Amino acid sequence: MTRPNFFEHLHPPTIPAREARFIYTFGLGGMSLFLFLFLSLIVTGVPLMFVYVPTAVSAADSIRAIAYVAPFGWLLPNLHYWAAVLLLLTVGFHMLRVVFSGSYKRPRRFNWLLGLVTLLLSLLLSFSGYVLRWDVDTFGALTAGTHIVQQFPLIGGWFYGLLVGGPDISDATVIRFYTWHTLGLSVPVLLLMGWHVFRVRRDGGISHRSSVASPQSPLSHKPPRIPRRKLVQREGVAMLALLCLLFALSLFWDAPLAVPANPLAGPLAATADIAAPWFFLWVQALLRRLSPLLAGIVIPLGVALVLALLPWTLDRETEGTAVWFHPAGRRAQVVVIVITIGIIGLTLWEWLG
Amino acid sequence: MNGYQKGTAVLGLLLLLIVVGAIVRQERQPKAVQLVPALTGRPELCLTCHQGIEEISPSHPTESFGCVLCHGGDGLALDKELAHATLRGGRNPSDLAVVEESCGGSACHSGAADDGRDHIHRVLTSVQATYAGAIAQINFAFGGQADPAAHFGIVAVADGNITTETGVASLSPFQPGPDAPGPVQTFANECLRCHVSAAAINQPYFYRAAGCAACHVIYENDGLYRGDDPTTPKDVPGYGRTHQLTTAIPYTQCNHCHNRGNYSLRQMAFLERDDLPGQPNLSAQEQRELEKLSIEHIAAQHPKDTIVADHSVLPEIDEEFQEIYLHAIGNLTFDPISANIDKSNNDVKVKLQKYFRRAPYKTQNELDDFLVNDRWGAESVINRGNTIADFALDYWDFQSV
Repeated sequence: MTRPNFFEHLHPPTIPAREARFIYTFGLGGMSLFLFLFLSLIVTGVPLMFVYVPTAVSAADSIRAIAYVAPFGWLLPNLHYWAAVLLLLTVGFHMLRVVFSGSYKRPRRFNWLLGLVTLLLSLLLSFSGYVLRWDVDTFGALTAGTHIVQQFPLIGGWFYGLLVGGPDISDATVIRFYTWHTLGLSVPVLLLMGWHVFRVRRDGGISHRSSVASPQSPLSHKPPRIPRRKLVQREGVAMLALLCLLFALSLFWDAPLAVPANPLAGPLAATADIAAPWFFLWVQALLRRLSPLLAGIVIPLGVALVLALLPWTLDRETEGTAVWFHPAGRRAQVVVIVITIGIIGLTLWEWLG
Repeated sequence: MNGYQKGTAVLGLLLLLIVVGAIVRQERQPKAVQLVPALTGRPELCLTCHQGIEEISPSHPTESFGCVLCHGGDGLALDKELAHATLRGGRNPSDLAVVEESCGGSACHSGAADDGRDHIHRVLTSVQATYAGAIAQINFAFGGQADPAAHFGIVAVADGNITTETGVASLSPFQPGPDAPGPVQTFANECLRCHVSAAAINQPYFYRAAGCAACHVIYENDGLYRGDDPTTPKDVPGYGRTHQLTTAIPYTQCNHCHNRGNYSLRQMAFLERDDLPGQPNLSAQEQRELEKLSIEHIAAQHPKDTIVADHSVLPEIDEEFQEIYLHAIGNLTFDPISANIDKSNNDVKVKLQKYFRRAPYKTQNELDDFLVNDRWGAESVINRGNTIADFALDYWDFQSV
């Protein structure tokens, strides 16, 4: 008998048939994992590291060299950009699925935290990647972001120095953001993702109904399960579909590029009107109307805290797992829906207004 | 095959299609042509699209200057909008708004500290840029200022080094308010079209650039580009003859502003001269039509039935007329094909009123003179034929014809 390998360790021998269906999970967790691996390690991130020059003068130029000169070079930043966009979308929807299907409940509460931290780090990864483009749009976002960081009570100044590497944005800033993006944030995310996937098995497999009552047997009995092979088949098809989508997007829509940033021209001349990346437009909407401390630190951290404590504060029930919109989790569902609508609303307001 | 195997096959095929699409896109990408100018050391890809454009001048060799040093722009981008987003002065880096950045600098045309070498400053304070003389005369003549000395210019300028008796130290911007005398306001609105920072009037003979290029880049009278840059249209007026600077400036270049007509102070309007070939207010389309000229019969070959009724106007197109005069030179004139079709077979009176009197061709304008008793008949044709013959004998030596 062959000894089980690491792959088989992560993929259980069987999984419940009901929860293996696409409409239960939409495969979002797996998609996120695939996109991240694709994005960072395997295909696009590392090759980009061969070309990108992390200095204020050459950053924008090195991106153009790969986008316009190298044969098939245009594929690389396009795939990287679209994988990043899709990653944030799948991770966001995955979180919503977990909330609405009650999969955060005991014993999966720690895994919920792991997932949330991964989400936050993914947002920071996307932001640092955005900054590294070093054009007028992203330079504005960097200026605004580091200014917000300065508003942190007590530690603001030290934190700013840590990020920017000096009194002003300079070469040192590029190198720091580059290191955060390629190592400082991506390695923890990789480890967290691995741990997150492992915890799924450790917590008893994918969240599922432990017993099923049916007319044939009024007493509860064990629900049907599908073998590992079938699960891997489904994952394979999903990965292929995602790959097709990624390549199609990269073929027709180029990753955005704007005029290179010129820090010497002063912060106002070097920025464009809308500076935030799309996933932070809601913060920009708040920043227009509230103080930076409130809009940039208190509210976003508050939202993160509410989400983090959700399984301990808003829904402590143990029943209702693996059922969409179960009444037991109503409070948690409503709070999350309100937050989601708020963020989407602010984003649209900022984008269209 | 089960569902998943079918799905995999379909998706695999789709992926193959996409890969083929990627190869197609790569093939269609223009091959980057890189230039590393000696003065900047930074690579530029402008020639990828602008292959064939003329070197701007022997004193600005492409290998030394490149393109970005004067024009600005994003030299490494091959996307048209991104590459042109930061161009200085749009198509013209010598526009006076940006000339200091493009052409200036102590090693270039701002020269050293002494006056004689700061060419840009001289241009900015010159009469062609400030229009100071014309403004002063009009303003004084119509009571807008108390003396005929120059106080105003198109934009504010100052000159610390006055070298003549009549020189002034500075000029304020000429912006007459609502309480300035009426003619002065009209002058400000209508008559400031020929200074170096003004945009050119888009008509034949007027086409030119602003800034340094107003003199140093030759424009043809039709404003069409005659060079080899594949991205520059050859049939849209408003471009220089070639992408070249020159110091050998012909008088035709001066005539893009000078000798264009006369100012009428009474009407406070500019009256363009009308003795040159070429039509004003023609679009490029009409310019092209102009080159397709056709023969127009003044008395129509096939008159419309409706005009038969008015014998007071109609020429008697009887057989004699048809045989002798219909095709005689006195009954013929040239016309662009489109205009000819427009005239159709209308009667002469309609043609005269709607077309001939308003046409840009003098030979059509003067048809009125040949009407006999308000009619166009055999006598008109004979007279006009004789006039044309006289003209030909006057202007061409028949021995050389």
